[in-house]
Amino acid sequence: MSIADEARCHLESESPAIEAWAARHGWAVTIDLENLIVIAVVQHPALPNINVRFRAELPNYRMHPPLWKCIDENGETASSAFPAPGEIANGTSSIFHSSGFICAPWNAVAYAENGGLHTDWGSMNNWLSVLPPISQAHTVPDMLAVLDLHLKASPGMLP
Amino acid sequence: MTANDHSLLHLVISSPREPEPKNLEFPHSELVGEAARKAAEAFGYTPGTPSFQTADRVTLDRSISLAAAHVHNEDHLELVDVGAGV
Repeated sequence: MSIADEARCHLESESPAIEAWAARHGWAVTIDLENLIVIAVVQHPALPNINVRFRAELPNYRMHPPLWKCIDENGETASSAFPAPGEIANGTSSIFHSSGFICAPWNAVAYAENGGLHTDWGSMNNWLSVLPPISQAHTVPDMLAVLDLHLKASPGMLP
Repeated sequence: MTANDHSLLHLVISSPREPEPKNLEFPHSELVGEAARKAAEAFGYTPGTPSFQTADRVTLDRSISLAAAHVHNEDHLELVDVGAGV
């Protein structure tokens, strides 16, 4: 089985849970099994006229975590498409970094080997071994739930 | 229902990773964090920082009891990991 086929099997197996979670929470989620892309769109809780669009590429899922980014309505990455960070309960820091990264071990973009900020989590091959209290999300629907949690604490969008 | 049943909260717990919820029971006095840990185990989660969200999408404080968090019998809660980013 190719790496892409293995990733496709994992994503397909998670699709019912992704769709069930999206239905419960009012998110619009598109799963592109052929191209191994998930796009999740939701209204920003603090900005009624603004949609936040999360895009995940999963070319090597689950050996590596997905590459999560925020995109604008044209599908382009832009600072203004990214939620501003806000503390969730008890002073817990946001996964939304002010530099426009989703900083969590379940995002390949966060790792230094992909140009991200983190060397402290080792290689993204070890993404399932990073321990709490850092954010844990080992399936795509778990990731969507964490994105939703942190988005609720976001005061707006980055400039 | 026996006398002991009154000491337990019967809850419907959803998890992001499974389409179907589970019916689980906890003492009223159980801390939210401990109940969420047990629920997370029931759904096969490895260690994390789980809590519950209510149907109104309020995330419960892990350090207080289910009773103090105003969780009632038959409430529907959803697991979420409240671990930190950055």
